[in-house]
Amino acid sequence: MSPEPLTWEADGLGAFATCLVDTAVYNKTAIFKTAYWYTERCYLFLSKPDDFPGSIRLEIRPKKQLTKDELTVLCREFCNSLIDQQVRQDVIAETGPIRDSLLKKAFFEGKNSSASSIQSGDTRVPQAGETYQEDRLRISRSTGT
Amino acid sequence: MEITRTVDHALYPRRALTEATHAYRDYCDVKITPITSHKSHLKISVKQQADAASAREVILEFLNYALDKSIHIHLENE
Repeated sequence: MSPEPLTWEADGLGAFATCLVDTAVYNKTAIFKTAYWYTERCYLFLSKPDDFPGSIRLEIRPKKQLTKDELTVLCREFCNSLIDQQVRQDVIAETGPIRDSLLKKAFFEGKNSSASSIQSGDTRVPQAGETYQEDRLRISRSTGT
Repeated sequence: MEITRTVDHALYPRRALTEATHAYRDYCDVKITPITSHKSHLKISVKQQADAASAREVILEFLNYALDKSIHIHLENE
Protein backbone atom coordinates (compact mmCIF):
# COMPACT_ATOMS: atom_id res chain seq x y z
CA MET A 1 0.00 0.00 0.00
CA SER A 2 1.40 3.40 -0.90
CA PRO A 3 1.43 5.96 1.92
CA GLU A 4 -0.55 9.19 1.96
CA PRO A 5 1.94 11.96 1.15
CA LEU A 6 0.28 14.51 3.45
CA THR A 7 -1.66 13.68 6.61
CA TRP A 8 -2.97 15.50 9.68
CA GLU A 9 -2.40 14.51 13.26
CA ALA A 10 -2.41 15.98 16.76
CA ASP A 11 -0.48 15.27 19.96
CA GLY A 12 0.32 17.02 23.23
CA LEU A 13 2.05 19.81 21.31
CA GLY A 14 -0.97 20.52 19.10
CA ALA A 15 -1.98 19.85 15.52
CA PHE A 16 0.57 19.18 12.82
CA ALA A 17 0.92 17.95 9.28
CA THR A 18 3.10 15.03 8.31
CA CYS A 19 4.73 14.63 4.97
CA LEU A 20 6.38 11.43 3.78
CA VAL A 21 9.36 12.04 1.50
CA ASP A 22 10.81 9.24 -0.64
CA THR A 23 14.61 9.30 -0.37
CA ALA A 24 14.90 7.58 -3.77
CA VAL A 25 13.48 10.78 -5.31
CA TYR A 26 14.82 13.43 -2.92
CA ASN A 27 18.25 12.92 -1.41
CA LYS A 28 19.02 13.63 2.24
CA THR A 29 20.98 16.80 1.42
CA ALA A 30 18.03 18.29 -0.48
CA ILE A 31 15.68 17.42 2.39
CA PHE A 32 18.08 18.91 4.96
CA LYS A 33 18.63 22.13 3.00
CA THR A 34 14.90 22.62 2.50
CA ALA A 35 14.27 21.91 6.18
CA TYR A 36 16.91 24.50 7.06
CA TRP A 37 15.05 27.14 5.00
CA TYR A 38 11.79 26.32 6.75
CA THR A 39 12.97 26.25 10.38
CA GLU A 40 12.37 30.02 10.38
CA ARG A 41 8.71 29.57 9.46
CA CYS A 42 7.73 26.36 11.20
CA TYR A 43 8.78 23.70 13.66
CA LEU A 44 10.11 20.56 12.02
CA PHE A 45 10.91 17.10 13.21
CA LEU A 46 12.38 14.39 10.98
CA SER A 47 12.12 10.66 11.53
CA LYS A 48 12.54 7.40 9.65
CA PRO A 49 9.29 5.42 9.76
CA ASP A 50 9.71 1.70 10.37
CA ASP A 51 6.86 0.85 7.98
CA PHE A 52 8.37 2.86 5.06
CA PRO A 53 12.14 2.40 5.37
CA GLY A 54 13.03 4.29 2.19
CA SER A 55 11.32 7.43 3.40
CA ILE A 56 11.79 10.34 5.76
CA ARG A 57 8.77 11.50 7.70
CA LEU A 58 8.51 15.23 8.35
CA GLU A 59 6.37 16.73 11.09
CA ILE A 60 5.47 20.29 10.19
CA ARG A 61 4.00 22.57 12.87
CA PRO A 62 3.30 26.25 12.36
CA LYS A 63 5.06 28.75 14.62
CA LYS A 64 1.95 30.88 14.79
CA GLN A 65 -1.69 29.88 14.76
CA LEU A 66 -2.73 28.76 11.26
CA THR A 67 -5.92 27.29 9.85
CA LYS A 68 -5.76 23.85 8.29
CA ASP A 69 -5.93 25.42 4.81
CA GLU A 70 -3.03 27.75 5.61
CA LEU A 71 -0.99 24.85 6.95
CA THR A 72 -1.79 22.89 3.78
CA VAL A 73 -0.43 25.79 1.73
CA LEU A 74 2.71 25.87 3.89
CA CYS A 75 3.26 22.13 3.37
CA ARG A 76 2.76 22.40 -0.36
CA GLU A 77 5.24 25.30 -0.47
CA PHE A 78 7.66 23.09 1.43
CA CYS A 79 7.21 20.33 -1.17
CA ASN A 80 7.82 22.81 -4.00
CA SER A 81 10.98 24.04 -2.26
CA LEU A 82 12.06 20.43 -1.97
CA ILE A 83 11.81 20.03 -5.74
CA ASP A 84 13.74 23.29 -6.16
CA GLN A 85 16.50 22.10 -3.83
CA GLN A 86 16.69 18.65 -5.46
CA VAL A 87 17.14 20.28 -8.89
CA ARG A 88 19.96 22.39 -7.41
CA GLN A 89 21.60 19.24 -6.04
CA ASP A 90 21.29 17.53 -9.44
CA VAL A 91 22.84 20.55 -11.18
CA ILE A 92 25.69 20.60 -8.63
CA ALA A 93 26.31 16.90 -9.26
CA GLU A 94 26.28 17.38 -13.04
CA THR A 95 28.38 20.53 -13.22
CA GLY A 96 30.61 20.08 -10.15
CA PRO A 97 33.69 18.77 -12.03
CA ILE A 98 33.41 21.58 -14.62
CA ARG A 99 33.10 24.20 -11.87
CA ASP A 100 36.12 22.76 -10.05
CA SER A 101 38.18 22.82 -13.28
CA LEU A 102 37.25 26.46 -13.89
CA LEU A 103 38.20 27.41 -10.34
CA LYS A 104 41.54 25.59 -10.62
CA LYS A 105 42.23 27.36 -13.91
CA ALA A 106 41.27 30.74 -12.50
CA PHE A 107 43.46 30.45 -9.41
CA PHE A 108 46.40 28.37 -10.62
CA GLU A 109 46.74 29.25 -14.27
CA GLY A 110 50.13 29.80 -15.90
CA LYS A 111 53.25 27.67 -15.83
CA ASN A 112 53.98 28.13 -12.11
CA SER A 113 50.90 26.32 -10.92
CA SER A 114 52.46 25.03 -7.71
CA ALA A 115 51.38 27.04 -4.67
CA SER A 116 54.86 26.55 -3.14
CA SER A 117 56.37 28.73 -5.90
CA ILE A 118 54.25 31.71 -4.90
CA GLN A 119 56.25 34.06 -2.71
CA SER A 120 53.99 35.37 -0.06
CA GLY A 121 53.69 36.05 3.64
CA ASP A 122 56.96 35.99 5.55
CA THR A 123 58.86 34.31 2.69
CA ARG A 124 58.90 37.56 0.74
CA VAL A 125 58.84 40.59 3.00
CA PRO A 126 58.88 43.95 1.15
CA GLN A 127 62.11 45.85 1.61
CA ALA A 128 62.39 49.50 2.53
CA GLY A 129 61.57 51.68 -0.44
CA GLU A 130 59.65 49.01 -2.31
CA THR A 131 56.11 49.88 -3.35
CA TYR A 132 53.33 47.94 -4.97
CA GLN A 133 53.77 50.06 -8.11
CA GLU A 134 57.16 48.41 -8.78
CA ASP A 135 55.39 45.04 -8.79
CA ARG A 136 58.51 43.02 -7.93
CA LEU A 137 56.40 39.86 -7.63
CA ARG A 138 54.85 40.59 -11.06
CA ILE A 139 51.36 40.13 -9.75
CA SER A 140 49.82 42.31 -12.44
CA ARG A 141 51.53 40.28 -15.20
CA SER A 142 49.07 38.33 -17.32
CA THR A 143 49.65 34.60 -17.00
CA GLY A 144 46.88 33.40 -19.30
CA THR A 145 47.62 31.58 -22.51
CA MET B 1 5.30 19.55 30.16
CA GLU B 2 7.20 16.51 28.99
CA ILE B 3 7.42 14.76 25.64
CA THR B 4 9.25 11.78 24.22
CA ARG B 5 10.62 11.23 20.74
CA THR B 6 12.57 8.49 19.00
CA VAL B 7 15.44 9.96 17.02
CA ASP B 8 17.46 8.36 14.25
CA HIS B 9 21.15 9.26 14.40
CA ALA B 10 21.39 9.22 10.60
CA LEU B 11 19.19 12.33 10.82
CA TYR B 12 20.14 13.68 14.25
CA PRO B 13 23.79 12.89 15.07
CA ARG B 14 24.63 12.44 18.76
CA ARG B 15 26.80 15.57 18.68
CA ALA B 16 23.84 17.68 17.50
CA LEU B 17 21.68 16.36 20.33
CA THR B 18 24.30 16.97 23.00
CA GLU B 19 24.97 20.49 21.70
CA ALA B 20 21.24 21.27 21.68
CA THR B 21 20.88 19.83 25.19
CA HIS B 22 23.70 22.05 26.37
CA ALA B 23 22.26 25.14 24.65
CA TYR B 24 18.82 24.60 26.24
CA ARG B 25 20.07 23.47 29.66
CA ASP B 26 18.43 26.48 31.36
CA TYR B 27 15.04 25.76 29.82
CA CYS B 28 14.63 21.99 29.70
CA ASP B 29 16.09 18.69 30.81
CA VAL B 30 16.82 16.21 28.06
CA LYS B 31 17.44 12.54 28.72
CA ILE B 32 18.93 10.59 25.81
CA THR B 33 18.59 6.81 26.11
CA PRO B 34 20.08 4.65 23.33
CA ILE B 35 17.69 2.05 21.91
CA THR B 36 19.91 0.63 19.16
CA SER B 37 23.25 1.72 17.66
CA HIS B 38 21.46 4.22 15.42
CA LYS B 39 18.37 5.15 17.42
CA SER B 40 17.82 6.85 20.77
CA HIS B 41 14.92 7.73 22.93
CA LEU B 42 14.65 11.43 23.80
CA LYS B 43 12.75 12.64 26.85
CA ILE B 44 12.37 16.42 27.03
CA SER B 45 11.05 18.01 30.24
CA VAL B 46 10.51 21.75 30.47
CA LYS B 47 12.03 23.23 33.64
CA GLN B 48 9.97 26.29 34.42
CA GLN B 49 6.48 25.85 33.16
CA ALA B 50 4.96 29.33 32.92
CA ASP B 51 2.11 28.15 30.69
CA ALA B 52 1.45 25.39 28.20
CA ALA B 53 2.10 27.65 25.20
CA SER B 54 5.60 28.66 26.30
CA ALA B 55 6.43 25.07 27.35
CA ARG B 56 5.37 23.94 23.86
CA GLU B 57 7.58 26.67 22.38
CA VAL B 58 10.61 25.55 24.42
CA ILE B 59 10.25 21.92 23.28
CA LEU B 60 9.70 22.75 19.62
CA GLU B 61 12.49 25.36 19.58
CA PHE B 62 14.79 22.73 21.10
CA LEU B 63 13.90 20.28 18.32
CA ASN B 64 14.42 22.95 15.65
CA TYR B 65 17.80 23.82 17.18
CA ALA B 66 18.81 20.15 17.18
CA LEU B 67 17.73 19.91 13.53
CA ASP B 68 19.75 23.02 12.60
CA LYS B 69 22.83 21.54 14.30
CA SER B 70 22.26 18.21 12.54
CA ILE B 71 22.03 19.93 9.16
CA HIS B 72 25.28 21.81 9.82
CA ILE B 73 27.07 18.58 10.78
CA HIS B 74 25.67 16.76 7.75
CA LEU B 75 26.74 19.53 5.35
CA GLU B 76 30.20 19.80 6.99
CA ASN B 77 30.76 16.10 6.32
CA GLU B 78 29.70 16.28 2.66
